Amino acid sequence: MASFGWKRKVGEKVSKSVVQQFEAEAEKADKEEGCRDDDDDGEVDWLHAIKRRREILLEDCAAKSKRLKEEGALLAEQGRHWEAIKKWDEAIQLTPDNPLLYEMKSQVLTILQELFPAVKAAEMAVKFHPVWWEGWQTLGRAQLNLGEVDLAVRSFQVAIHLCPSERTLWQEDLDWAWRLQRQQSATKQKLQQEEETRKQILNAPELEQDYDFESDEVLAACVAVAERQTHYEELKKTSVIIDAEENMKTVLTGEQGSEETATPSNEHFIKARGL
Amino acid sequence: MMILTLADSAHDDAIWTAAWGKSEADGSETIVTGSLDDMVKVWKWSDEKLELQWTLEGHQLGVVSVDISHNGAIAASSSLDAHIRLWDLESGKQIKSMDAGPVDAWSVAFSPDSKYIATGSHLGKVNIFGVESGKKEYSLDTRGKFILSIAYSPDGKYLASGAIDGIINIFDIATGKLLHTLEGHAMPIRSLTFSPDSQLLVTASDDGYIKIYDVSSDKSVKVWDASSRACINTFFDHQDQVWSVKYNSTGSKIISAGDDRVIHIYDCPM
Repeated sequence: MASFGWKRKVGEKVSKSVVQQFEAEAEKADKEEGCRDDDDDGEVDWLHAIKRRREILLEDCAAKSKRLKEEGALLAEQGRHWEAIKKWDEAIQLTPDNPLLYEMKSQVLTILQELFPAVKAAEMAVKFHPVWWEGWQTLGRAQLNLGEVDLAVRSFQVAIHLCPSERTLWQEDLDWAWRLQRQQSATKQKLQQEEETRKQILNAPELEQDYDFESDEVLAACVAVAERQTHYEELKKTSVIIDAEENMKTVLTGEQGSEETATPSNEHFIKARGL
Repeated sequence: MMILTLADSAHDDAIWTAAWGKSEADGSETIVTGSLDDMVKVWKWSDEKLELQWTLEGHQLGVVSVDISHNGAIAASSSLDAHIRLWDLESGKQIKSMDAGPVDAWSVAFSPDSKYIATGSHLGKVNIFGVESGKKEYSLDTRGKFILSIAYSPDGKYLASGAIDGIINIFDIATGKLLHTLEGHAMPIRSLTFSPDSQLLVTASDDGYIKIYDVSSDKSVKVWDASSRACINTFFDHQDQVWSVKYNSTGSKIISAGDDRVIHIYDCPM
């Protein structure tokens, strides 16, 4: 008695040997047919239809992605950057875990001055292939363009650790980024120093004491305050640079006037952004 | 064989290198790790526990390689900032800082008598620095490519270097002559070491062929039996790339460290 139910498994009541025999025969017939006419003119291979379709689809994605990648590369070479990116975006849709596509996209985005998207793309490349030094180099360069010096220095270090024999990483990338990093920290220190001196001018410790306005103490305090004022002025006039021998230097800058007018507006801008 | 200890977030960034040493004075065991976070950390290994002893600051870029002298008193570290630093493990103070020049300080290795430090360089030269003098004493030329890994044989007779192109060179220390050139691998040799009896040289490369231990491009730590040439054990405890694996002096324990910032200690019965 065969019972009927929706949950019945396919092939439950079918003998294995019969199935094998049927498949073998069908295949044989298929081959004969295949000899007579080409595979895909109307003839459907019912036996393997589902399986084969998936295989074809997978193969198609990889192949199409590869073609799109190459087309994009050609376009990029000709300077048609946006078109190249469009091609690669299509390819990414097909093969979303190919680091090469992201890395190339990042390079072109950098050329187009699309700084943040360039970093994002390079980050994807590194995510999918973390031991590929070129991905880290591209990420570092994108980060440097965005002004993220610390992150760039880290990325270049990872790249060098993966491939220390690559001279450009040492001589161009890390050297330059590290120099910027040191310069940045030196500038930060100087700004802090400037700020402290300015604060001391405003509430000079010498003036906080009680004076009997007769003695020389007043004079001494005034001299101290004046000295600090000139020190501050001098600090403002200088800027930090690193010379060829890698030494930090503070150097007098020429156009005092223009800088002074620029500074307050700058401060205002930063404050406004902070809100 | 089992994982004994694991120190989570041992560093603020990927750990690139580790060394295991034993003090001649009191027999205590020390582990030194170096990381992309510019730090060198010294850990005491006692009662199956890992305890942070010193955090050594000084390097300005990532620490590529560390080693401990054979008497267990000094640690050496090299960094991408082109400096080799020597540290007193007792006091946690820096003894010396040597400017090796750009690209000339990659892996560091103490000689068995702890008097010299060997380091590989980009032109295939092995530079030997004096621990006392803090200066380059002499160099051995492989006429090859960038040297990634370096090792002295425990008996002090040989020095082996592994290059980025997979070539291994073995020098006779006494004469400074190149004894052998082995074309063992087709890809960079990240790590090499001699067996305790100085008879076997073990190399590990990016191509995935390794004899005793594996620090190559996957997340596993493999322990290989040299006599049977079979992989005894594979650990998949790391979440990320493993960069450094070292035995302790007796061969009873193994430490591994990697990009996931974790230090693992394994027990390996002898």
